[in-house]
Amino acid sequence: MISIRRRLTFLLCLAMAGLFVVAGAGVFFVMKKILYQRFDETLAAKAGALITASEVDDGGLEIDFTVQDFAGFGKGGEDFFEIRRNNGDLLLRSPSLRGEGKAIDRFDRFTPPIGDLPVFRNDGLANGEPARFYLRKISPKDDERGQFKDIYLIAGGPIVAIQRELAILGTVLAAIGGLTILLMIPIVRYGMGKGLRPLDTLSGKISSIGSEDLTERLPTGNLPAELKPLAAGLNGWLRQLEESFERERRFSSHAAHELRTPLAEIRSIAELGKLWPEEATPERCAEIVTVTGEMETLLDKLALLARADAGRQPVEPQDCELGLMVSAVTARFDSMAKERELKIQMSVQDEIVRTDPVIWTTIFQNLYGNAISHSPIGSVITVEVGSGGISVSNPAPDLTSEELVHLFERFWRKDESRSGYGHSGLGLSVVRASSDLLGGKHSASFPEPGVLRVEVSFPKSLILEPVSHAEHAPAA
Amino acid sequence: MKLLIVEDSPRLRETLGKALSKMGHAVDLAVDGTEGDFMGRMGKYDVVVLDRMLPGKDGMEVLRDWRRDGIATPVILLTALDGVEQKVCGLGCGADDYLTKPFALEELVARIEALSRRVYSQPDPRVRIGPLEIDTASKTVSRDGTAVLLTAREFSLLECLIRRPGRVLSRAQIEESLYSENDSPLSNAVDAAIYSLRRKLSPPGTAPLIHTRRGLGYCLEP
Repeated sequence: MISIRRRLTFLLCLAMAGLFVVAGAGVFFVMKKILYQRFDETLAAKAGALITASEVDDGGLEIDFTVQDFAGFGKGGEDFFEIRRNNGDLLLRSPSLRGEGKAIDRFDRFTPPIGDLPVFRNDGLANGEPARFYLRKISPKDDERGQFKDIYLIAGGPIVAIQRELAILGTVLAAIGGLTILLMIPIVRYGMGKGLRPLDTLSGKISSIGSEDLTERLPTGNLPAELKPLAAGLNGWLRQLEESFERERRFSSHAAHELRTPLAEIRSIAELGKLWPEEATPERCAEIVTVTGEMETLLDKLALLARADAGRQPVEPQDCELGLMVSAVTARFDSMAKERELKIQMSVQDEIVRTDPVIWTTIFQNLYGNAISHSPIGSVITVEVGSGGISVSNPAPDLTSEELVHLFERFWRKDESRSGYGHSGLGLSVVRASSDLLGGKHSASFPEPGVLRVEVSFPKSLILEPVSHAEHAPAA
Repeated sequence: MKLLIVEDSPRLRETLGKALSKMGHAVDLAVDGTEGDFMGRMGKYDVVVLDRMLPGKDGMEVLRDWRRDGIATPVILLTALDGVEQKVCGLGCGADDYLTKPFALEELVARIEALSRRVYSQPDPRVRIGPLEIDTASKTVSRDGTAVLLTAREFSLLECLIRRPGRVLSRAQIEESLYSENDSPLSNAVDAAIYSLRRKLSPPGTAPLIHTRRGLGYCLEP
């Protein structure tokens, strides 16, 4: 698994090691330049003393020995020089070169300098000792006859000390760098751990939140600014989850509640028949069939809502005749409408629409069935059906405007005791879900006091063509 | 036992009423909270089976009002709400027991009887009075080890008498305990039932156990 801490530690250590190498190299090269510059200045000064002290005497080139000694070129001195003609002939060499081990070296390998400016170069002595050389054309004093116009000075000194100092510096820098990098790893790890602790705390808090305690929220007060949006986003998510779980829990609880009473009815009737067989009458068996039918209807509604919620309810539009669909539904309620002495004013625009007939019929059946069941006996129900939508109006004298907003809620019923047979409080929520599936809009209103109007309107794209035959005749 | 069932589901109400009547109990039925409240206040019931969600007046409201007004009739709450908090709330409001739908008829009966025994301070379902041994759970009676077969009504009458051993029960008290509101017993129904029970419990040649106190009523004592 990729670890941010490990990755950041690695990258930080790598970056710091890189920076340290660059800085160390910088220090090293600056020091090297300074040391060589100082060496060159000293060598140039000494060479200058030699040049100043050079003169022609009795036709020969000379340099005062005192100057040579003073400048460090004397016998036993560390520095050395030669004066040669451009053709390589040796004219003069320092006493220091005549010492042990050095006399064997000759500087005729250097090409004479071009121009008047001095030239510095590194080279080694014959004994392998590294040295730095200063080459410059010179013109000795009193050379009136011009015998020494083509001569140049080769002055040099060992640079072992410089190289040793540089080696020490390099070693120290490398040692400090390595040690620093080694120490940096735990320090960076500790720093990362401290810096990422709020993330760990947040992660622990998130892990501890189970589906049972979704009311918990992540604390945002002491969180670093980088984590606050994350915690706020997660809190928003938790809120949505909580609402969703609560909705689900309420739905399950309501569903279980709705199923418990009919189950209790079936069980008690069955137990009565079991204990006293003479009580297992055809009427009681018919009651069981009725209750089972009601439970089936309830389960159908629950299944439709569950499918709609999960987006698994198929919508299969086809050309449908409104008139046929309406009459199929109204026929089912004819006897109940008659029994309740209801008067139905029905207006159906007999058109062909492109819709899912199952879902459309579900909407109409629930709206119409609700009106038939809940309207006061002997009242008038107005039904309008067209390609644009369905509207059903019926007297609802007990319904208040405050209750209107609850009409489409699942399991909402005006009578909290839920004693209405065959009414689970799911009808209008099924209407809402079905209307959503067809892209429609649902609404409930009081067009006049005491009259409830529930309406579902569909998009105009549903209309295909009007049917040629006459408008549907109003029922009863 | 005299029971009151307050349940808005007609099927459940009637089925429970029928089953409990068949078991020999006198059962009154109420269709909603308002009626149940009225009947609970007016009648003298051994146990009330009260649905929690009722039209008219909510079951919990009925229960709270009864307890507030000092009506201590034992109540079993019958409900489709099965949450722990619902049960706690129901019991906290004064219910003596809580039964969730759907339930087994036998369980409801067992709970009613257990509650009744608790109320009459008879935790043991087996009661011994002289040579009589009565098991109110298995509904069996024996005298000196010999089984006595009783009808449901006779057993109910015996239960009524053993709850108050040695005390005299008036004819009206017995009638109230044995018959529901819808029963219309003849004026001598209690006497006839007592006669029948007395005959079965005390065969010829044995000491009578049910005694008549003239002008007062009947009592059960060895």
